Amino acid sequence: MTCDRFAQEGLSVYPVTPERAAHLASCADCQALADRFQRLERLIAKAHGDAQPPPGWEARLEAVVTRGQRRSKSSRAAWVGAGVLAAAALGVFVLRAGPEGEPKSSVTALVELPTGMRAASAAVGGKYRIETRAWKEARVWLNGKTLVGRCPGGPACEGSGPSLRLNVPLAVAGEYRVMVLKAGEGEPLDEPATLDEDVRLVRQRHGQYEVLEPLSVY
Amino acid sequence: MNEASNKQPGVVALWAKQWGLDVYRYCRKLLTSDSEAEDAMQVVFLQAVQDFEQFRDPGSELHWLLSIARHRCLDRLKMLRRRPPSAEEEEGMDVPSDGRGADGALEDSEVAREVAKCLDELPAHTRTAIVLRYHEQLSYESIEALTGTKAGALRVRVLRGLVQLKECLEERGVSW
Repeated sequence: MTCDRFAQEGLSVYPVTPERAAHLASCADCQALADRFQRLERLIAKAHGDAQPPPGWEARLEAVVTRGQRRSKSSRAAWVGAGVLAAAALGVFVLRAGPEGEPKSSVTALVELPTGMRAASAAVGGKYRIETRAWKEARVWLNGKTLVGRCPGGPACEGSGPSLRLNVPLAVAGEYRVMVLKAGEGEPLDEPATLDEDVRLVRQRHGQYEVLEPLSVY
Repeated sequence: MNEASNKQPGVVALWAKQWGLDVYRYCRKLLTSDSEAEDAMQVVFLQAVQDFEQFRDPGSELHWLLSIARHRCLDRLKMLRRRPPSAEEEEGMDVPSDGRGADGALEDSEVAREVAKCLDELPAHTRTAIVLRYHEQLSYESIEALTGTKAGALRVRVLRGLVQLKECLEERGVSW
């Protein structure tokens, strides 16, 4: 019995038979090979033992858990479970909702991908779905400079009235940011050139707004 | 007993702080990308919130979380198996080895990192079987119950995987 064959026949995954034990005891090469496999098994147990999640994971996890708890507290635990499973099945992941205790800022931003879930990033080709009932307008900025979606009014807008729904195609890589707002008094905020200007104009007229955490698209 | 053992749904948030990293690392062994593992981690804690009433064994919180993680990661693998690897995953598979000492030998932790990279290159079903066998120390019969694959087939899978790992490490010039 050669050592190679010994390895192929199950050095480590099959119980050691008397025949194999006898061979192992008399074959230094096989013993060395057995030792190496045992070391490999120990190394497998250690693999990824120092892996670190992408930066910001703690905040994202906290947000997800807080949101889950909020739903649980309002007797909608069953909905959460179904939602989680449905999200997993559909490859949809809830990225961010509004801050706790401020129902007026409730915004749901979902990334829909053909390939699966992403926590804070997505691939080109996915869809970014934004839904809110509490704000008058929603805008999606690419890299803070290009308005790629708005509701009401834009081609990606699917809702009207009290419920705003956008379905923005993630056509190019970059950083997508959602801004929701109630503009306040004054002229309509029609064509701001940048996200910063958008924010500045809303502030200027004492409007309310919220800018969601960025979605990175690769 | 730690502070997370109070019977309040809010304690899951404390568990997340305390054991989020453990759950992530467990998921990362089974899933080949950081983002997949993070997604799975989030799903695990969401399920913990949802199923909190079913948790009845204070002191075994991590064990409970990891058992949720195992099922969710296996679900995730089934889903991922239906699609080709993403660009991110492919990039992750090709990281050159590093951490070599002055004498050419690698520290144990560095070798474990190389093993991790080689594990990521294995087919998902092989990696799953190896991780469940050697990380969790599950019997082949237990793995059969979890995955639905016969114990005999799992042994063959693990054996082939070990040989592939050995070859991968040799290709990377890692002595172990």
